[in-house]
Amino acid sequence: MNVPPLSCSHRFTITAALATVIYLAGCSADEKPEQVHSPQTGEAAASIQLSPHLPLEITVTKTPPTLESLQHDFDVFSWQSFIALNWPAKPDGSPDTDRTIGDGKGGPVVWQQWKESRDLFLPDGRKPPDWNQPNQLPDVCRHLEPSSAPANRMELTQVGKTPNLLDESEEPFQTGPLIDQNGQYTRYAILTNETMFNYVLDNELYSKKGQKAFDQDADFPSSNPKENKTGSIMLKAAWIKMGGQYDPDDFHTREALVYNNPDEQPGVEPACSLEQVGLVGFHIAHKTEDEPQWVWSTFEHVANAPTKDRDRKREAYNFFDPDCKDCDINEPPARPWNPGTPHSQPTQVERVTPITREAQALNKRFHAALEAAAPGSVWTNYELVSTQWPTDADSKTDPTGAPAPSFLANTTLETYIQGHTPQGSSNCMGCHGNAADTNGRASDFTYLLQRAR
Amino acid sequence: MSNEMSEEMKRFIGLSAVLTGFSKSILAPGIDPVDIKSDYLPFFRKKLAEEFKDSDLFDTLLSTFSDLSAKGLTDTQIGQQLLNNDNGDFVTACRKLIFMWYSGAWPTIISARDGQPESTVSTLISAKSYTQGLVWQVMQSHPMGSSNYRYGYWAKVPPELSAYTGHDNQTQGAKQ
Amino acid sequence: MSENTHYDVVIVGSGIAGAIVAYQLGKEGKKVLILEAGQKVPANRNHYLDTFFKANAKTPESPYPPTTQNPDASTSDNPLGLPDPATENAPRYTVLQVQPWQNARQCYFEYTPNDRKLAPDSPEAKFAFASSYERIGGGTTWHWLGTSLRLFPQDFELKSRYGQGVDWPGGRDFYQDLVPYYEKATNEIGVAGDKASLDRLYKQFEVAPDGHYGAEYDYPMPGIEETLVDNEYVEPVSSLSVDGNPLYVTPTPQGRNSRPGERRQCAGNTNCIPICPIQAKYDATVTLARALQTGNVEIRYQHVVSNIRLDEETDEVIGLDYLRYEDDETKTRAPESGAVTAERYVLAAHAIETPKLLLMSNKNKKFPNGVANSSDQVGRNLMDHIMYLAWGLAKDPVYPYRGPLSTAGIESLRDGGFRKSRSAYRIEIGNEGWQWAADDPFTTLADFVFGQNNSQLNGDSVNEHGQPLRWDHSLPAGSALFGESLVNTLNGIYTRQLRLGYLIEQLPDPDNRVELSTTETDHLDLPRPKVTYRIREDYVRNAFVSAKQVSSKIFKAIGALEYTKAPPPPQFDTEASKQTPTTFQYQGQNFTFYGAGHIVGTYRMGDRKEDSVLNRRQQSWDHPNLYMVGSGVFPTVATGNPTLTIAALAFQAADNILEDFSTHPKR
Repeated sequence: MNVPPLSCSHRFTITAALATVIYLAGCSADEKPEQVHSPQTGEAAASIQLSPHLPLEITVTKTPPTLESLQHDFDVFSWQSFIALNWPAKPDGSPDTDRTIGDGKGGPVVWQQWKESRDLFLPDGRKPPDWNQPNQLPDVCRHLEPSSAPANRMELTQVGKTPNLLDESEEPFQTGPLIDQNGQYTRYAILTNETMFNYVLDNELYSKKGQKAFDQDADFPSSNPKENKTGSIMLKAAWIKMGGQYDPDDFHTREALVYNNPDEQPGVEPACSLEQVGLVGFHIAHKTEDEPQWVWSTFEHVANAPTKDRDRKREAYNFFDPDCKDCDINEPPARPWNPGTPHSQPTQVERVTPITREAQALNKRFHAALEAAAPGSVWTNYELVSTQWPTDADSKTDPTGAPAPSFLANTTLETYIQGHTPQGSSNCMGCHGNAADTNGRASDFTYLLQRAR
Repeated sequence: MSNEMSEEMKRFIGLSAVLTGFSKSILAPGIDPVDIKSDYLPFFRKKLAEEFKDSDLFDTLLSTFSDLSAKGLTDTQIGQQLLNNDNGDFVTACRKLIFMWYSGAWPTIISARDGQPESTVSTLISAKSYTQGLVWQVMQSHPMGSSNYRYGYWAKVPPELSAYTGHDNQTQGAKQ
Repeated sequence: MSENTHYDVVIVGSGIAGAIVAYQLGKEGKKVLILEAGQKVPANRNHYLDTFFKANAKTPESPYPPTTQNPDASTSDNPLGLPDPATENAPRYTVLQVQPWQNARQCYFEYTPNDRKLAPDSPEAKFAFASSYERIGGGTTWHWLGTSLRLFPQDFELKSRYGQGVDWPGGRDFYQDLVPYYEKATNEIGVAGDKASLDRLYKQFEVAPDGHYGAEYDYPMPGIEETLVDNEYVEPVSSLSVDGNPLYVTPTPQGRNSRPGERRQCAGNTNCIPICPIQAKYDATVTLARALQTGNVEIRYQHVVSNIRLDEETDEVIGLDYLRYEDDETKTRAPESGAVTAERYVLAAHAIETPKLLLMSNKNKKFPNGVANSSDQVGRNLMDHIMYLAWGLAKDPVYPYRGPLSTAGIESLRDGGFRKSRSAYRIEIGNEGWQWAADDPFTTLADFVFGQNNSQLNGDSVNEHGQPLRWDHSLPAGSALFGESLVNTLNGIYTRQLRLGYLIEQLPDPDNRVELSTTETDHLDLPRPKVTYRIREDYVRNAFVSAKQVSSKIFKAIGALEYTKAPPPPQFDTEASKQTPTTFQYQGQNFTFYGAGHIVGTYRMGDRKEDSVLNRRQQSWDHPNLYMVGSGVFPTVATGNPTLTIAALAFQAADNILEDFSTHPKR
């Protein structure tokens, strides 16, 4: 992000015009970038070109920028990223440029070829297989006839945001699993792109031993638009099992090995099953050159939960039962927590912070573009909640860079810590700024490194 | 919110900067996601009207400040002239403005009595104002209960004072 | 919902002691019920934190329910808006109640006033108890500091070695038996500690007779980084000695993460008390969650146990009666009463509410003075680490208000021959500037904004060594500053602030006690505690004199200017509401004492049924299926902060209870 010099504390390095050029450089010749309009200039009429190319920096649309105009620019960056990541993938994981996002249901998308955290941090700290090599399955999953599973199946190993002791899905506190309307546990996966994966691999940060030898603060590569280099990106996805209350036509789905991981909580028995799961929540964290605190985008399925104190827009929600009058709101289930439990009381979820009108307007525009590109596109069922970005990335006194908005939560990933309380409520950069490796060294806004054995 | 501040807000921030010794860029950053200034201005105006029974005092403060700053005086000269005002309420209002920015709370002076010296009690304006108190910045630290630093920072000397105040001419840790 | 009414074990209280016992028993397959008087553990910390941020007085209890202060209810005789404890279902004592200690509309404890004719230095002077506790899920560890020190063998033999107080049952043997449980406690809490530093201390005090200090223990995490404040003391104090002991700084073993784990790594929010915002600091909700995860432990909140029923023949406990209240905010609905039964019972309601429950249970024929009270010791021997505070300004900036509240201390004075004639103490090095000592940063701020002098920095104040205390001699007394000079003045002061705290070992005094009030009740109509508290012994008062001298010596050694302010003389010849709560006079000097939050001794263990409530197994002498845990079991307050010992004793009690089950599965 490039902020003009409104005050002496803000550094301005690249002009808005230059940023646009960089964006162009990221597009293939026959594609035109989206004509980004500032919120003040006839937004509704703007057309959006969908692109399989990940944006590497924010395109600043207003000079001088304001808090609102920059929020818009970051939100556009988030949508562009979401579209590029969910582009249909070729078998090698690259975007299939012969297709467009949402054309025909199912099939792997780009990010689903990325490495999961369990592929990076092996139980005995040994070196993980290279980016293109297959990973080992947990024993209990091996009995499943491989041919019965479609290619590129993924494992969803993390139940609840927080249960695994060495798990980035842990919120500041063990906040609890999220139970869907079928009484099933929501499943999570954390993934890294190749740049991030290779940084861990090359520096041997996949083991405690390697981290000890490294003995410095981690500094993951950031995206570099000048050299057209993609920096470090990590993702967190939340999935629910299809069937029952959930119609697979409404979700981006795929087949997955759903694994109950005994390391998560005492009392969990290892079990594995092949399931069709649907995407309900999606975080993107992208380290860019001007945002060393990373850019934090979060998306949700549109039917996840109603907003507190607002009229409900739907008859049914993924995580809210309108008929339940005395359900506690945003209250985690009672322990013991165990994903093997055949049925648990569903969690009654509400969104605490409304999605802003500006973000809703942007969602509408992108939904229209998605619908135009592929009528009936399942991706119109996903919406941007917001993007958190540093307003003062170089601040000497605030290493979190004075984030905007101050708080940001996804109802499926930070269900129980939504709110507006400093330190207590979900704040991507505030929390991740404390992340450390197993030696206590700063791990550059990722909790992944503490998982090393 | 937006970086286009109203004229009134600009003068309020200018006055506050002179009195607190913090730069305008710290009190009102160009991109200001926290925006405590927009809480303080109406609160301060309301408090002056209530406490001093003088609905014009707030405007008088701002216009006096504007007049002084138009004369091309230094911050110190402006501050001295403000605080030498003949109107006692005017001076007290300035001092309470300083206290509010530093503490996030509104002060009440308890006069000396029963052998107890004069003292101050205060009421916090909000949870946000507590965490935005300049007192934590002037000590080169963070609000107790809300730190954005990470493990072990306490074993190192903090960033220089000027990084917190936005002014370059501060003598950090000066013993006078 | 139908609820079970019979369990293997019922535990009263969900703090660290109750949670550990529940976890250990649940892990072994026992069906356990915890009855917690307070509100449930919340889904997140937002509400507690919000309450804390907004609180005008940020006392240890300020984040927690029921609310400690309400500015909207402020009146001239109740400026902070303290709630009336008679309207609360689960009230507790808070440090804001110390000042209005004689006013039962604001203070949960009932105190009786002093005789107006008392001399200012009379040992018979009664004071307000200076420490507080919580009644919520997870208990008082919500606001503990995290200090995780072991006691020393000598602490268990105060009587036989030094002729003071009492021994713990079995003396040094008791300590030896406790060692493996200290290990378990250290692991459960996840203590960060530096073994080499502790070894030095253990050598000095000959903790292991064979000199092997390392084989038995280590810490699950490396020690927490020390602060710049700590470093200021390290070199200079090492040339000092006190009463024959060397002085040196020891990094404190602490229950907070120095490495990321199940919880976040400590980020130095400098707020361990009242609340760690990110739960880097251990609290008992961690163990409580582990207990509930076993699937064998159930907890019911807002259940206040009101009576213990006994079998008239066997004297065994046969049931607990409780009152369940609906919601603390709507105080209208009548509480619901109920009862539960179990094979065995554990009281873990801390050292005020546990004796109160025992004393309230006075309807059993053979125990008209209360359950477990044939010795008449229930509620007696109330103790605390009473604290002396000293503060000053370092010669150069040391940048306090950063890091955990305390990361190091001087432990080398915790035992020695002097223990025959005065209490021992440890010295805690504070990282919070003058926050505790002088309510800074706000006192100094007000002084230089409004021209006041409550910090002694802006007037003609002189310390007890005759040194002038004005910060800037080029400015007149009572300066009111602005702009750059305000910035530089405040920065110069705050960055130099130092504070030392002495945790002085109070002796057991049977007249320091918790009784039942005959006039005051809470909203459930249960009697409130009536507390009598004195500092009678010269032995204890001598330690204040020593602490004062040692502080001056230390400040001199580090080149600091001392600002410790002696209070005015205690006032007894006045109406009750004006009687001094926490100031005593001794040898012509006036001392304010502070609470360490270490409430100890009110249902103590002992070797003899006649003068103790529990045997060394923490089992009631009177009722073999009744156990009690927590610091109330301590025969003496000893020289270390109590939580690690509370935790170790809880592990030991759990083993004792399991042993009983294996010998007598059913009672």
